[in-house]
Amino acid sequence: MGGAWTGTGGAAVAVETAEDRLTELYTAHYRSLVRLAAFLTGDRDNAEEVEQDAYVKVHGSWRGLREPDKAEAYLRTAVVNLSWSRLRRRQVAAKHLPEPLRDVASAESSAMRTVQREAVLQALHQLPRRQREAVVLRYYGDLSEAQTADAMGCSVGAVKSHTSRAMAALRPLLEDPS
Amino acid sequence: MTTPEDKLAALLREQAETVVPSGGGLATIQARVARKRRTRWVLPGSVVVTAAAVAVLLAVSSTGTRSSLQQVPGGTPEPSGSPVGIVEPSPTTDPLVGKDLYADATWPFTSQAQAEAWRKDRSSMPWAGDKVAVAQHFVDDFLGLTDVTVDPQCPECFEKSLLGLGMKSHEGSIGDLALGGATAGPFSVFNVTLDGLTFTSPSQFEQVSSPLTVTGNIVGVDENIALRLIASDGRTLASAAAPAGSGAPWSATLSWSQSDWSHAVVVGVTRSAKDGSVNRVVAQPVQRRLPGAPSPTPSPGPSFAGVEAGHVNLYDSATGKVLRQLTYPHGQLVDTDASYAAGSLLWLRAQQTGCNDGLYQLVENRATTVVAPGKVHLGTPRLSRDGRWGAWLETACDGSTTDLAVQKAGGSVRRISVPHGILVRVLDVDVAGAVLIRTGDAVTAFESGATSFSEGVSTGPESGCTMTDAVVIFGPPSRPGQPALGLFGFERCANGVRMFNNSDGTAHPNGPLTAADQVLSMSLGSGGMLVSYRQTAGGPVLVATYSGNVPAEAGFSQPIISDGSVRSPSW
Repeated sequence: MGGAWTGTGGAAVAVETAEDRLTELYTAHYRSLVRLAAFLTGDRDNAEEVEQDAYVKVHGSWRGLREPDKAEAYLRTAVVNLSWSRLRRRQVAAKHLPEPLRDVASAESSAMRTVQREAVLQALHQLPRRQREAVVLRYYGDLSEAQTADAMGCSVGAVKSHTSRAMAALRPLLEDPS
Repeated sequence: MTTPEDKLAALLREQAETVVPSGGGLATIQARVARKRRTRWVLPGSVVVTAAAVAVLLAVSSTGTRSSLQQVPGGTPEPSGSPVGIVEPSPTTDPLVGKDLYADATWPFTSQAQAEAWRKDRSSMPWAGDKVAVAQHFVDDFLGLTDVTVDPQCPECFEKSLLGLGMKSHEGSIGDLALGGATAGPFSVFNVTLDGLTFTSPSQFEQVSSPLTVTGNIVGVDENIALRLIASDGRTLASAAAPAGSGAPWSATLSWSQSDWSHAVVVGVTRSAKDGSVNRVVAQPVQRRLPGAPSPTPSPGPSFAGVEAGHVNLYDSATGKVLRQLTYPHGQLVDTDASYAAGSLLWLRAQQTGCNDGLYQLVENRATTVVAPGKVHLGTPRLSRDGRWGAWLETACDGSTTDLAVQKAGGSVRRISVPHGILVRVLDVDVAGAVLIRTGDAVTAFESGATSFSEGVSTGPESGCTMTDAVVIFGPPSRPGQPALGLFGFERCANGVRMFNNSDGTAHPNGPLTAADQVLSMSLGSGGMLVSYRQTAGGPVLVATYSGNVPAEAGFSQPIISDGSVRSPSW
């Protein structure tokens, strides 16, 4: 990748490293983080833009990162924060809450399972933001409680609390009818 | 057995599979990064090559009369001839206007006198010197919201006199709590705002009487707003409920009979229908209207200083009117440039002829000499937003050398030699001592501690744009996700003047600025960004503000001054 940054003080090296590393991160995580943004914003159309913003932001902040080896975590946090910013701006601008994910053709053969999924997704998007973030990061992102706390910028205890409240709301929809 | 958690994970993964990113994500990111990098950042060396071989523009020629100051109204003494360097402004007052930093506060301090009393005896509220503790006590003790915690990690998001802290609840951010006061404390809460829930009446600091009709707007969902009028001593004077939703205006009436209070806050709280936890909070300070009291007058905006007609004035940012003349040059002396921050003024006074510039500082009505006249040409003095750092240019009387001088209050002057032939001017110095200068068609930033010009990192204009008449300043203090040296600026492009924010690589609307406009200066202060510009070559200098949530959604105000010639306005 071309390194136009040729300033003094090692900046050129820093930017090259950032670009190489971000390319690796793109390959490894772009798809999953776009999906994370889609869950958090409830807006699949803008999820990719949120994700690109996150990469550009992390790139721009590369020199200021205290621990570049934790870039993936920074990226994830950026997605969480940018999703919220996007959501909040849109709430103000459009004066309505985000719509739930649009109906999509189900890959399931079971009509019952499709109905259940839609109900769960609808309930998910009615959760308070922090609860939604917690369950999406925990159960879609497969993050530990500590990693989730890092991404959300809160304590592990708060993650437990958010998750517990969210699951209390979702559990009736997830339990087997039997 | 499949647990609900397992089921949820499976459902989320299934749903995720339906979200398929486009194939061009990496190319888009690379293009955005490359565009930002290629066009914004260039070598200092290239500046050397392209810059015009013109030295710093300063007053020239030579006689040797020592510069002196006249007394300014209010008792400013003539400065001593001995340079004392940059003086740290007092953390407690705005000496130039005598502004009470707590006059607009809500809780627990509503006056400078109360703050001074606390400084003498801290036993009653030992926590008042800690912003986070003040915020938490406000939430717990004053609002009585026991299920809301203040996040101690939330950084100051925008440097005004009001410092932002995020209030966190189980639902996340529920409002932005504004704290303020003297730099060293104590701290007081000013208000709580939130984008989606707002008061349209009463206005901030409105003098109110019973019954009071409270109106507002709420975005999005149906929520019940619990309203209370809480006196500054914590008593709830009145309460009411307002059902609201669907974007429609809401209204409720608060009635009270008590008359033994002066300051109070109208608080609106909504709670989750699911679990009763707090959803949103807003708080608007009001004052009790005394019987027969005159109609309330709008609160003045923060003041700014600027150079006009050869001296420095202090202006009201709400009206643009001169509040006070700050400097009084006489004879052949003329004040040519100034920087005002944290109640401190750093200004340059020159003779009409000769190498006889002096640099002075006004702090707490006392003028001191920073650089004695008669030694060098001086230019573009700038103070950091907290008034603790100063930066300026010094050029030898024979024009042979130019130094960028940087000094922290109480410290020694650090000089960075500017290579010969580069046109430079100081644009900004930040609270950590980093300095930003114009270097030809780019700007160069020096981290605090830099001693050599080669340590600077330069940024150039976007492709198709020029910075020849652009201005750039440091952004707010860096925060997670931002580079250490965030920049804001204006640059001239083919289709007009535009504002950019290097921190996130975005450009912003220009308000009324057009291709014909020329931006002259920027200053970031308590009221947002102060901008001076001309709409026509040689025309009057207009002064306006970028207010709001700089830099994300800034808005350009109507000009505060539309027919003046105020130079270098700063706050």
